[in-house]
Amino acid sequence: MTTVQGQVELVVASGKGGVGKSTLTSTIALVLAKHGYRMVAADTDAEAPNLHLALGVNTWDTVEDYLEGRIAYIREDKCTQCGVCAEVCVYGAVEVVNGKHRINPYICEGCLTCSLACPEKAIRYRFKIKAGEIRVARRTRYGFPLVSGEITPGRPNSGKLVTEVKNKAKEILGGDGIVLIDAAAGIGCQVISSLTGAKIGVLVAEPTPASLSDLKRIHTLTRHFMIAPMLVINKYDINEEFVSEIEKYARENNIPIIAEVPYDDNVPKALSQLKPLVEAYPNSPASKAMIEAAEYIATEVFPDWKKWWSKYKPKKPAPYIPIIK
Amino acid sequence: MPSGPKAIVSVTGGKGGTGKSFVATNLAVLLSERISNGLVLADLDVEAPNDHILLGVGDPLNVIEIEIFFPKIDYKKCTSCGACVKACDTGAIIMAQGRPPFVFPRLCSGCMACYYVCPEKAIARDGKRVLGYIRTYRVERNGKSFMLVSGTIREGEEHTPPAIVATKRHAMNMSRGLLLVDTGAGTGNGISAAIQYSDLVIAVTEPTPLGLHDLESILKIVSGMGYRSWVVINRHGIGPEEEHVELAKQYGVERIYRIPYSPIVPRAYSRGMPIVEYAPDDPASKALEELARDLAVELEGKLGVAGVVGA
Amino acid sequence: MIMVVRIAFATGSGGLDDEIYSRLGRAPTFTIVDVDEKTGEILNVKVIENPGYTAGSGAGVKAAQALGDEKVQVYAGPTPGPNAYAALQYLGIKVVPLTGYKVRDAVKKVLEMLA
Repeated sequence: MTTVQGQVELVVASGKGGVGKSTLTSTIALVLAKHGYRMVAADTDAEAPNLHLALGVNTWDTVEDYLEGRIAYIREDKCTQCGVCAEVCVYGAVEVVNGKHRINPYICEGCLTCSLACPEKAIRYRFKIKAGEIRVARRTRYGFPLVSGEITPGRPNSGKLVTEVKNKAKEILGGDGIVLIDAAAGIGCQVISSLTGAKIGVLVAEPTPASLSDLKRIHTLTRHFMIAPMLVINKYDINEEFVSEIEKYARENNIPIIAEVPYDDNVPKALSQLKPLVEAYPNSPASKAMIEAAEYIATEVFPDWKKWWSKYKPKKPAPYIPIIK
Repeated sequence: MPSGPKAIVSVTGGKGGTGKSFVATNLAVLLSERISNGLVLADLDVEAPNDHILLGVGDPLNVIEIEIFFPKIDYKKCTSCGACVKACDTGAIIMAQGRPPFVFPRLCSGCMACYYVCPEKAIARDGKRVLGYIRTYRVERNGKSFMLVSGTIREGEEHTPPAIVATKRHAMNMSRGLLLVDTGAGTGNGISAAIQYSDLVIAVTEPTPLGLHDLESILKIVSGMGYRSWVVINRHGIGPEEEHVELAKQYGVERIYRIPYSPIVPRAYSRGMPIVEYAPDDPASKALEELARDLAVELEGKLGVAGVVGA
Repeated sequence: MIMVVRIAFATGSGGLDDEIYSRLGRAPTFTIVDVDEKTGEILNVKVIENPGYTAGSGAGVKAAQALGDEKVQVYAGPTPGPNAYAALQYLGIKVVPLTGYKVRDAVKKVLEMLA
């Protein structure tokens, strides 16, 4: 067993989804396990968790309900059908069914507005709504445990669910080791929640203008949290000219590029087969490139991660300027 | 339910790229030939709309701003009581004791709870900020035309439901015949808002484990909201689909259509042409035509027999 | 005259013997300590629940607001997220990034870093 100092979080992030995060994270997980590191994998991309599919996990040892938030409902005995609630709800959650006003629980976010505006004080709330699930596989085929979060269909995204998934993962690991996190996609609260506490970041980008702009945004976040980042460029051959734009950004910001992965048909194929890419197609071009990235992490970043972190950490935390306009 | 369209059909499909925009845009082209009282296609994928790209349209007819409420606080009236801070669900308002509150624009969802709770009425009712934009295009095809209403959200904004609702309302106001909705990607409450009031929901999936998982998520929402549904299995032939069919049965899906995988599709896409125009004899085009025909017949009742041509 | 500084630490179960928690927004509690600035003597300890702990979104800002309400002058703990950071700045609360200490031991460290 290769030991690392302390419990260290490594987060794989990309901004918007669809750039190949899960396949890369699964490759890193397998290679770290092969090198004998003590670790746990956590999928915090709760809107579309794929890591378990990329690792070939299809049964869970435990599934816990995650409860959060509130949903409004109208007390029929007090309602005068005045319709004020329908006018004020910005989500359009109030519907009229058979002449009666009713709040659609699939749309309501529980914001308080309708209950504040209702002249009859006829609106109440249900609490402890099932907003998601936390699933645990205590021992994947590769030896390490996997914790995966998923949002219940129809509910809004949640930063707290991400926190709970990470906490569960750290609890299961208990003690020194690597917490490998597949970050949430997007830029909201759930992404911030994925990143806090991490020391090392693997950023993934595609050579498109949209992906570069996502990369800059996620990089600003990592700079804010003093996370030392490295970069993987995925599907580089879909636009080789734009790759140099990304390389330029990485160079200017002292981000080491640890692999450039070609587009590879075998990636979705492996996912369909519920097998990790490096197991299903070990010699495919994407496999080889991702393994190169994972080997870098397993031998250059770990086990002495503090040294690597000191070398690549941001010089000082990025200040946050709230967007006013 | 606001008046406007006579019928609403939503096309949705979960998170992954199953092909809902592909199906929605091709259906719009095929149906525009059959619906005589107007077709509006609403692209509610506000984070990254692409129906205008798939249809190869030029500049929009107009662009309007999506405005949402933003609390403008009258500091002369504000007593720093802190009620707005407590009422704010998203944590967008903070206040130092004795000082007026500060609002984080990007965290504010525009819900107006602060406006209603303020005992001094110190928050203006008409304060606004721009959340995104709605672009309206006229799409001309073979002498027939339909309108495309496309919503986007400004960079850095996290909260999509208000933009989805605003774009859909705008499309509903414009529509007098059929409103076809491309809900965009997702399985959250933004999708629920996008499919609201649908007469029929078309769930697009593909024969892969991800497609199966997305299908289940979508069907949970659709059946929970009590709407009718059909399923379209896109890229039929690339994998097993027995579980998809079984799942559809479980959720009371009324019909299942299959669009065969076709390598021509990406070619059509790169030319900004729907496949039903680029390669009308391709099996995928034929399957889409069958779907469109059946849909037109299904909607005859709502749109009126005169509203449907050559069904 | 004693110069008192009020420091808030992000904590789990709370109290002087607790370890600083790994994050701000969703730390279960804050341990608020009144300290003699010169001698480092701990004059008062209070543990409050963090409203951000249960929040779906905007946790960091809600946490910062709670510290503002308690008239905290210094926050010590993991780096706040961008929104929380701005909120703490607006509320006039100094931020001292610090992890890996029990609260009792961290107090001295914070005073050193502030000096």
